Amino acid sequence: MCYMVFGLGGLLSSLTILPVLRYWPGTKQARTARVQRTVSLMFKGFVAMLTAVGVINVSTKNLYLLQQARSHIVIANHPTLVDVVVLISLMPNAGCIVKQSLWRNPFIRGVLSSVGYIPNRSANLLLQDCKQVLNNATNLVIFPEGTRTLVGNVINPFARGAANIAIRTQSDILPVILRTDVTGLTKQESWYQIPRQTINMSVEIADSVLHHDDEITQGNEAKMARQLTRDLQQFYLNSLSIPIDSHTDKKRK
Amino acid sequence: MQNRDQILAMLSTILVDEFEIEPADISLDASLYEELDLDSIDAVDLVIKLQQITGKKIQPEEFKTVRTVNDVVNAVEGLMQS
Repeated sequence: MCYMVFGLGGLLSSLTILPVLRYWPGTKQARTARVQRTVSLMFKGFVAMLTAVGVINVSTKNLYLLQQARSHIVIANHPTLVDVVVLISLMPNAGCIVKQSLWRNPFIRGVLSSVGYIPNRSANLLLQDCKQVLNNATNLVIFPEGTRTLVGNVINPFARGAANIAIRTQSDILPVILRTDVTGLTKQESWYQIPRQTINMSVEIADSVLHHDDEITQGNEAKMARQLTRDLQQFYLNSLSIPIDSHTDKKRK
Repeated sequence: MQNRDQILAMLSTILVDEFEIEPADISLDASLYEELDLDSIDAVDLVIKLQQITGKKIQPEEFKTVRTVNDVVNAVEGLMQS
């Protein structure tokens, strides 16, 4: 329990180096990329720490697809509290959509804007922001489940935001499948309830779902987003019916 | 398109055709976001559609308080009279 607090403390204190990076010279784009890499490295350290104390053990499959990805909507199912940390630790160029209320927090605001994260403002502004971030080669991480998977569900019903953003910004979707062998760090437990057993998490990157500009005619985006969301949901249900196994990048080597 | 019945019929057509909503689910007190499962991006689309059909400009603030089908009918009715 204390190591979790310790980890968060470490994370917060390292935030102090971000303002320095923020004013480091370079174009706005170069600065954002630099901060994104730094956050990725810090999260990598955090995941290493979680691994060292036996909370989680991450393995990957087709990781190169994630590391090569530019301007993709990266979607994932959401079994645990640390999913976003694991994902960002594997991505040098990740952006997220963050609660708008955090922008009012003077401590966090600077970091959020320097790393190119997006506030969840009204739908119109959100789409504009997403487009801009995606144009800068940033990948946007979205959990279509909206919140962590309810224990007992394979996935929660998907919200249509990710599909809508993909269709309306003409972006490709990169699906990431997170499989865990024991439940833990779920929404139904408090964040400090650390599972007794190490959670093995496999991060499998699937093939991109490419966008098709030609199929979009003005006005039918709402329907397309519905269809795409149903397809993605079915894809995750099918994929997650295959249990976690050992055919991972790390073990193959 | 003057009276409320016509507005409701027009709105129902949009909801069924564009947002895959079952006609049986549409009633005046059905809530757009919970019962009819619209999201915030759908709401923007709906406003655009209503603008095209009515030929009137809808202020985003006017639509912020809209929760139910009845609220939309009221808003459109107000728009047509203005």
